[in-house]
This record gives sequence, structure tokens and C-alpha cells, in this order.
Amino acid sequence: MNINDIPSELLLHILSYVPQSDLFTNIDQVCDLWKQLAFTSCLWKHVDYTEIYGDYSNAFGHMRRIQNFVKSLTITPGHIIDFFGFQRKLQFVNLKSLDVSDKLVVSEVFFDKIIQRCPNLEKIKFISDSRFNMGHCLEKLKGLNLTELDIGYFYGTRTLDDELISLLRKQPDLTKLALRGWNTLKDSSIASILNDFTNLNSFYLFNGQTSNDAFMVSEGDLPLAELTIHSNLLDDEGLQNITERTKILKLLNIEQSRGITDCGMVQVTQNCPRLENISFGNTYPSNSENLSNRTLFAVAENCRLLKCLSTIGCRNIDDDGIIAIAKSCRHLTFLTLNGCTELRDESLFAIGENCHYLREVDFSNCFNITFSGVYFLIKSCPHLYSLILSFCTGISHANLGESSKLINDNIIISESHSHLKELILRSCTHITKEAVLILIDMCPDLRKLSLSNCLSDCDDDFLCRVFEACQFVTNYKVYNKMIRRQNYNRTDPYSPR
Amino acid sequence: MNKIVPQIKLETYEKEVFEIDLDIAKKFGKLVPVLQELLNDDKPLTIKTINSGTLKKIITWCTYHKDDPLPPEDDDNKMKHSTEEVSSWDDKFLQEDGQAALFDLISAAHTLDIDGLLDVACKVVATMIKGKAPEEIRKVFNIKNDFTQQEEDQVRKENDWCED
Repeated sequence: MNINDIPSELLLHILSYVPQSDLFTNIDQVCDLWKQLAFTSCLWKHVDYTEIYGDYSNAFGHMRRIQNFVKSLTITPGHIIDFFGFQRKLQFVNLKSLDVSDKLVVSEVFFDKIIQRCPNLEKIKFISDSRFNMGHCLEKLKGLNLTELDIGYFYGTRTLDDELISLLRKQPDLTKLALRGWNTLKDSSIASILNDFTNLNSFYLFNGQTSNDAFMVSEGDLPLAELTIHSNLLDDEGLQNITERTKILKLLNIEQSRGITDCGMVQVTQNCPRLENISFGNTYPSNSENLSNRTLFAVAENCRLLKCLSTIGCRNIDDDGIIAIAKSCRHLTFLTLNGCTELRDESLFAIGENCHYLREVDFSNCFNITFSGVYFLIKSCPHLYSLILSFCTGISHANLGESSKLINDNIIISESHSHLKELILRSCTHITKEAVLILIDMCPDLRKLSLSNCLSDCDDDFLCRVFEACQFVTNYKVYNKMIRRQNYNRTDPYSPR
Repeated sequence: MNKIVPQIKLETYEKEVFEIDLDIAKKFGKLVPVLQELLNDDKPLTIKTINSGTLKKIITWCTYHKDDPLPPEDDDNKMKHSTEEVSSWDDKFLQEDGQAALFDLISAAHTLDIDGLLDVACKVVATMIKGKAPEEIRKVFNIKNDFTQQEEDQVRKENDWCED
């Protein structure tokens, strides 16, 4: 059977896994059939402008041909200006989702054009600041029927509460609202948004100065499934108040809200037993000292459906808390424990023994974990695909320690091999070559490996061994050098040139 | 001790009959609605479009991936265009019999509605395509260049065409 004998729909399925940039530089020149397929609408639903076109000289020409296919577009404000400026007449009639939040702010002139040229937008995300006439833009947005709105408004000085609420009134289908910045927003306005717009199921507020008053809302349950509040003024009382009314909450993120203590979090777990995703903690560890094992015990007891947990920088939690979580939240898939410096191998053993669906783990800056724990975790979680261990200086030589006993005791070790795709050992300054080789020999699927700032003494033999063990790795960093496969003489017929 | 596992029977193009364990057959989306009937039926179900080699391959794949967790729900907003997820076992298993067998497998996975296998097999083919120039792709897959010189120039022109 030749590739062109399989039905076109299957060929399209194959092409949907080929990078989009290949479609207009190579695929369309193979043969007539492939040329037609390369311009099929289903391949161009999602376009990330910078990723696809890079510095391709005729992005505009290509974009003109696919403009009607694009449903979601991520683009920089600069390129949007290119598209909509002056005589250029790009029109995205089917575009539903537009993300122009990359770095720069959009100016109001081009904002008008966006609304004109993308009349069917349902989701929009953008950032602006005080130079920008936000009032004008809120007014313009009334022309769209939105389901998701994400506005960053930084350093703004005007109070625009009435304009914002008036826009929301015109958006009966809005389910997700994210407000970043918005220093001028009054607590009472937030309270009325939460109270009045009962279709919202996701609310995201990143604004340092929202206090409890915003959440002292009246009776009645809210259908919120996702709630993110980053504010220094929020404390247990406000959190208790809002979560009392959000019984079906699935996601709670209060990172950076340093006023929250164990007391508040215990209440949250009792109020919201369906929580699947909890993030707290702070990148400045001194700001997250209010939360300890007590919170984790309450999560373990009340939120058995937990899938994602992030406790960045919580120096007060230790193995007991993580062991409790591992034992009762068996569906845990994402775990970020970056900077929880008290954790030891015991946490990894408990996670490995209990959480077999684990997919991503970040133990960066956990100085006390050793090779033994890492080895056991990889061995016992076959679905793990990302393991980040930056600055874990406790990992040194390949001592199996406790883990060999656990494995010998036959505690449910899966027969399936590890499917780890990403292993980051950045700045694990004490790790030995032998330890690295033992770990990567367990991970034949590895795509991304970093040994940056480790192993200042490695030799060619070691570098080759890594490529032999990980057939999919094309390059990786060791100490301060990027090592490329082509320089280590191994032929692979299907690797890109 | 051996448990008696319920099995269903499938007949291939070569009229060879395969007995397949129920928990494996459940992976064949197409068969799921009729599994119960097949279990009670002594006559095998004939699938003429699939040959024995391919069915054997499918059974091996499904057995190996029997305990995989369900994939995350298909999210239309997710960008695909990436082949990151293929495991080394799948990569080797799918390529070891050559291209023709792989395309047979893709068609069969499609016929039987085995999404996991279809996805991973398509990704393996995508890996062979990506990053290659048109001429190389034709060579790898033995595709005839059916463009006239004129058309070829035209495609090239369209790509270079800059217009304001």
C-alpha cells in the first residue's frame, strides 16, 4: 500500500501531526493531492502566528489564503497591525478566539479594526495600560457576543467600574472572566459582578488590592467552578465567605494571597469537596509560612478527587503532609512542590506507591531528596512524563538506599516501563555520571533532558551513551554546552535534518 | 490457575479466524455495540478489509496498551501538530514491518475505530514527513511528482508572492 492509497481523511489525520510550517513550505509541493490537503480548513483552525511563520517572508500571503479557516489566533499586537493596517483587507469571519496578550499593548485604533475584521469573536485576551483608552475599548466590545474575556489593564488611573459592568450586562453568554491589573476596581464592583453574573463559571482576579469586602456577598449559591484570586489583602474570612457559596468549585488558586492561613484552607476543603485543582504558596517563601501540613491533612481528608496540587515555596510542609495526600488522593496527576525544602525521599516513596496516574511532578529546590527517591518514583509511575528536579543538590551518587528494599518488597511496581518525556536536572550540582545513566536508561522515551550546570567533568563516552539510551533526544545541555546528536555520529533515518 | 476469559471471533480477509479476549476487543470502538451478540454467537464476524498480519499486529498493540489510562478528553482548542507523545515501544513496533504494513494498520485502525492506535500510527508517519523537503518526501514514500513544470513554478510563485 502506498501512502496515497489510504483515504484522504486519514492522510489529513497524519498531516495534522506535522508542524504547520511544513505545510506551506514542503507538503504543498509534493504532489497535487498533498497540495490540496495542505490547504484544508481543518489543518488551520488554530494558528500561533510567531510559532508558525517565524520570519517567513510571505506570512501575509499565506494568511490571506487561510483567513476563513482560522478559529483561534495567537498573535503579537505588532503583527495584528501588519494585517489590519491601511489597505490590507484581511477578514477573519470564522475567528472565535483571539489572543493578542503577548508583551505589547494594543492601541485603540487597532482595537477598532480587530472588532471590525473579526465580527464573530467569542473569546478575546489582551493587555493594555494607562496610555490606552480602556473606556473606548470596553464600549467597542459590546458589539461582540463573548463567552470568554481576559483583560489586563495595568497602571490605569481612571475608574472604569461602571463601563466594565455595563459591558458585562451586554454579554449574557459570558462564562469566563479574567481581570489582571485593574488597580482602580472597587471591592463593591467585584461583589456585584460575582452576585449579578450568575453564568460565570470561571473568575480570575489578579489584582493586589482586593480585600475581603469584595467577597462579602449575599445569599445563594454561585455556579463557579474555577476561582483564582491573587491579592495580598484577602484573608481567611473573605475566602471562607466566597467558598461557602461555591460548593461545586473544582479549581482554587490563591497563590500570592499571603493572608490565607491553615484555618482558612481547612474551611475551604470542607466547603468545596469537589476540588480537583488547588494551588497555594508563593515564590517568596517568607510569604507562605501561614500554610502547613494542617492544610494538606484537610485536603487529604475532604478532597479525594484532587488531581492537581501546587504548593510552591511552602517551607512548612513536610513528608507527613505529602504522605497523607498521596495515600488518599490516588488520582493525583500534577504535583508542583517547588521550594518545599523540608521534603525528603519519604514523600517520593509515598507518591510512587500510591499515585499511579501521576503525569507531571516538580520537586525543584527540594534539597533533601536523593537519588533513591527519584529512582523509585520513575520506576513506580509509568505514566509520568515530566519530572523537574532543578537545584536538587541532594541528588548525588547512585545510592539505591531504601528504594531497593521497597522494590524488592514487591510493592506494586508496574510492569510497564517508564514513559518519561522530560527530565530536568538543572543545577543538580552533585549528581554523578553513573547516577544520570541509571536514570536515563530507565527512560527510553525521553525527548527533553537538561543537565545544565551539572557534570563539569563529562567525557565523549558519556555524551554518546546518553544518545544511545534516549533515541528521541536530538540535543541536550550539559554543564554550559549544548550537545547535538549529529556531532556524535549516529545515523537515524527519520530524524529531521 | 487459568480463568476462562470470554472471547469473540473475527475472521480476516484470508478467512483465518482469530479468538480475541473480550477486554482486548473492547478497544475496538466499532465492535463495542455488538460485543454482547458476538459473545453469544459461534459464527465469527468477517472483516474482509483486514488481513491476518494486520489483525495480529492490532491484537499485540491492544494487549500491550490494555491498562493505559483513558486519554484526556479531546479538546478542540488544543493545538496538535506535534509528535511528542510517541513512546519508543510504539515507534519500534509500528515501524518494524515497513511502510506498507504501517498504512494497512492505519486503515484497519480506522475501520475498527481504535483511536489510540490510529493516533500513534499517524504520528509515526508524521515524524517521517516533518522537516523534509518535497523531493525527499517523494523519495521516502515513493510518491509520483504529478505537477507539470508550469504548476510547480506556480506553487513556488504563490509561496513567494508578496502582495499589499
